[in-house]
Amino acid sequence: MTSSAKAVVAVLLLQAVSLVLGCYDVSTDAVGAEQVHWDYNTDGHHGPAHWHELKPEWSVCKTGMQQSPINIVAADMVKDDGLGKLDARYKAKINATIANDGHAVVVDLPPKSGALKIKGVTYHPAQFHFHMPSEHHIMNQSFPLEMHLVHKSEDGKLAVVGFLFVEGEESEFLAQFVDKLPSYKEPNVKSNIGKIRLLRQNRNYGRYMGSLTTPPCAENVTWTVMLWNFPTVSAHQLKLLSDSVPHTNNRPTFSSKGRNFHTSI
Amino acid sequence: MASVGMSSLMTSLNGVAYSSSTRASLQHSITARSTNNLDSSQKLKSDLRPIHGSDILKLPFTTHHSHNYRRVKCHKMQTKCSSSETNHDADPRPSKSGSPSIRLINRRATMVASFGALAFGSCSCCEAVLAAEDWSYGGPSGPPTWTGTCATGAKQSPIDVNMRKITLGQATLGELVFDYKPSTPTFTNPGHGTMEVDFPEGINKLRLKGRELNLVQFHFHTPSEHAYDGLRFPMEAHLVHQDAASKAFAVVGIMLDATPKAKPNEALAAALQYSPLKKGKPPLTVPKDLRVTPASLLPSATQNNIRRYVHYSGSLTTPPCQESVDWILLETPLTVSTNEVVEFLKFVGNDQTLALNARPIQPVNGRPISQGP
Repeated sequence: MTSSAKAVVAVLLLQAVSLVLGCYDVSTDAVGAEQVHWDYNTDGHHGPAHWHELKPEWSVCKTGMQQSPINIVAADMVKDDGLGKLDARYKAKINATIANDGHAVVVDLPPKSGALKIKGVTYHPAQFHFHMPSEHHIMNQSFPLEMHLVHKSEDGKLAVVGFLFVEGEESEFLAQFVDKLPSYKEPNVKSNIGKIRLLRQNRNYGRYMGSLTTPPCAENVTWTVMLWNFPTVSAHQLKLLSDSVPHTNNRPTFSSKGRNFHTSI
Repeated sequence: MASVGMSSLMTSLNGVAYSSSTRASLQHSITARSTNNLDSSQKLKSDLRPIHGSDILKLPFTTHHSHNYRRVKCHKMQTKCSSSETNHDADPRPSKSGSPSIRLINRRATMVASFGALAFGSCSCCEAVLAAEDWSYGGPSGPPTWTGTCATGAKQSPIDVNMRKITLGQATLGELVFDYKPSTPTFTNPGHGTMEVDFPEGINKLRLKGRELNLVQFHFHTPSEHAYDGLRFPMEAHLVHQDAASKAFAVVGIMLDATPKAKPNEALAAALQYSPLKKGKPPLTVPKDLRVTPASLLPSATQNNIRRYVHYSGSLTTPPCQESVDWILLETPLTVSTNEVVEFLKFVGNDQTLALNARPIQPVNGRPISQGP
């Protein structure tokens, strides 16, 4: 059996389990904008293939031309000397809160926790959350975990930095809060995790224009994917993260549709 | 060697399964003969954990990653082992080895000899050595648990090199003169991630001021083990040399950068193509006319054929982390293709997943770091 076939079987098994346990209902989300139930179940009517049907504003999930995630392949890669070193600065200690929105574990960061500068625009970190397995693939390779550090500009533009994790040594970064993960069974209950330090940035990264990977799949998101010096996560930490959500929570990859993936250095 | 069936392996392993629940100490003596006629006897003393039936399938069926040592063949070896319930006492032979580097070579020879014996079912104490050598880059045997010099040494590698603080012209090694030629190497997978590309002695030489060193082997890490100004590169190549006279190690470290659509690097491509994907597998068939020149791992020299480097005294980056290794880190990175980096990540993950094989950064502890030539 190929590894991709194995992955599909694993996903189906997990989904079968979540179906037996009863599909988690997020219609009670406190966030007013999100009244419609959606999930990652590819067999049901609320899964990624159906997100565009669930709300008129979500039609871009299907019709969009720059959807995320993507499978990053060599054919789309372009070395871009203009990218330079990533201009991101974060406070050494950031007071953060953690919650589970039923889809993912989300850590909220207070305003002015740092700044990411891309082409003259300053974005401030707002939150980070986790997907298991990874949403982005590199040359058809999936990773066990992906973290999205979401930044917003003053005028509401989004820039997300994606970190792909490889299984290995325990992550000191995740160790700061991985034993305090809220369960999907108690959605949107916020708790303080004290002061944390964000992940270090890499020397190498890639850049492309994409979208949110969850409804409403809004586009014009500037994506930065950290490359090569991948952070590691231990098997135990992966287990804790996976126990916090009822199912796998990765949106399938999209075609690049002619988009270039610019690589730094 | 690796054609040994599981049943005979099990028999061989069962023959020495330990019932003791306490750690036993092993004194193990093997005479090995290496390809370069380095006859040696040595006494290997190491800790081992008891081997139970349930452990058997977890045992790596190969010599462990010891990229720092010369690959030796195990012909004409003699083994002396005896077994008891709690420990193994072998006839301790006087050690001829004087310098630490000689001992390392011998130890490698011991490991290889052990594997040969294991595969042929003729020696029953080899698995104990293998178990004692168990280490990895993550989990219960990850870098924080590495013992011996790895834990206690004050001059360990890799390090983060602060490029702005080093001073030009301070290195004492002089100019690097690489005398590398095309030859047919041996491709092995000793486990722990990287493959190892071994060269017979006397073909590839590195000449430093008044010194001649032989290239023993090269291998790779991902990400780079050394960092420049806090940042690690996608990969690092280690060209392991040994001083012809003193037998001391000098490793040339080259940072590898990934560029999409770059031409495949000859040496890295050959390593990826001809190294067995799983540790312990026999070597793949290598075309007789295959020639690999390690020079393809060297970034282009700048004007006057000068290659700028950083020098410091460090250690092997894998257990036993032996010190007094001269590190020569080329400042200019070499470009390889993005595809090769991904292929190597897969190789490290045994073709099952992507994995890394870089030791964490070690403290500099005030060691002088110089720049040359």
